[in-house]
Amino acid sequence: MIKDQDFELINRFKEGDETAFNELVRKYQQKIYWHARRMVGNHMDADEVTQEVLVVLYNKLDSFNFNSTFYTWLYRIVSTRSLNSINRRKLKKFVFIDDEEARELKSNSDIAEDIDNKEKLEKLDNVLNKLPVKQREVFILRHFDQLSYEEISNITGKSVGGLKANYFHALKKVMELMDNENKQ
Amino acid sequence: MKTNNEKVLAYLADVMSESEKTEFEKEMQNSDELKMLVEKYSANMDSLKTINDVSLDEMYFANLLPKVRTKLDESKKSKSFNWFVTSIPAAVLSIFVLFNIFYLNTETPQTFQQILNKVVAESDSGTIAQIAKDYSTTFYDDFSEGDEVIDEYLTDIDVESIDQSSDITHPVIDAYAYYDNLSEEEMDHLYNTLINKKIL
Repeated sequence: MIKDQDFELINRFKEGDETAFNELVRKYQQKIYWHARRMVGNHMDADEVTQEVLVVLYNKLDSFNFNSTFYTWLYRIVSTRSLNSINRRKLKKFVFIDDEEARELKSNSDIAEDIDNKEKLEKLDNVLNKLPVKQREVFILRHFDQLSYEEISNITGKSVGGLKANYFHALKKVMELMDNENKQ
Repeated sequence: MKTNNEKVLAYLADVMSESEKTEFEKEMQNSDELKMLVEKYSANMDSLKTINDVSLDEMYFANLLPKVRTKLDESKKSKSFNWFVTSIPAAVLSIFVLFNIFYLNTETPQTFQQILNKVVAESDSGTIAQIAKDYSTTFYDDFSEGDEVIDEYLTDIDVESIDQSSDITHPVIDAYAYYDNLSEEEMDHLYNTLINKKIL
């Protein structure tokens, strides 16, 4: 049983203290949003995933048995939901063919504070969206969340060797993209 | 053979073994090209982290929890309604099943002794003989003449005219399904009892 900082909060929630859930949400909402945002590449889908994850968290927290860290367990939920969202979007694109209008709507409803931050976000989305989903997931967890390969393996259920290969290829691609951008 | 680019990326991606890493670091000390590549890629990685350092609208996160709470409340209400809607047919079904088990089947013999008592109490030689006679002289005799006759027999049956309240509900027939569960010994005992009581 892993007794980390969240142990007490989760136990309080299990005993019926609803405020413990609020504290967990406040503690993790930005991490959840950012992971979803980097994975799906736009605010609207990231917002949807974040809310879904928090609802799942509320409904499943009772069954959390401390066999892994809460952080790992939560990331697993966010990753799964983000992948589902990406698949849903692919399906929509396939069905409606031209998704330009929807994408425009999504970028306009972003939550970046000002134009500079919007530009930064667009740049980030442009780089990450060019990576295949599996490579993107590993790259985000390793590069931005700075997790070890073992921790990523616990979240994704994939072997450390496979994850290393994915990260290597992702890094290579990202460096190429950034080189091209710097040349322009 | 790996290019310098690949070596640097493998080093930065931390996919090298400890011995490979030590070897690469030694090589880097003597190679300006490797040093430059490591610096360049490290700078790119850092700039990506800087891009990621975006200020978001605080109001979004302030409103997130109330939104989720509303969703959870709606979900609870919906669950209660679904529970109510599904519980009615479930309750009706349960009553129907219990009615069948405890009311309709209360008269059905369950054990060998019950079957025996019921057969003995409710049967007489006349009805048993009549059932045997009807069975053997109609269907059984025709059956021996081949499938065509059976088909003809079954086609000619006027379903409306069958009196379902008579022989077919006789306790001997009703209890037939339970005979499958009786042992040879119990069957012999049942047969002998019926013989002794001059029912058969």
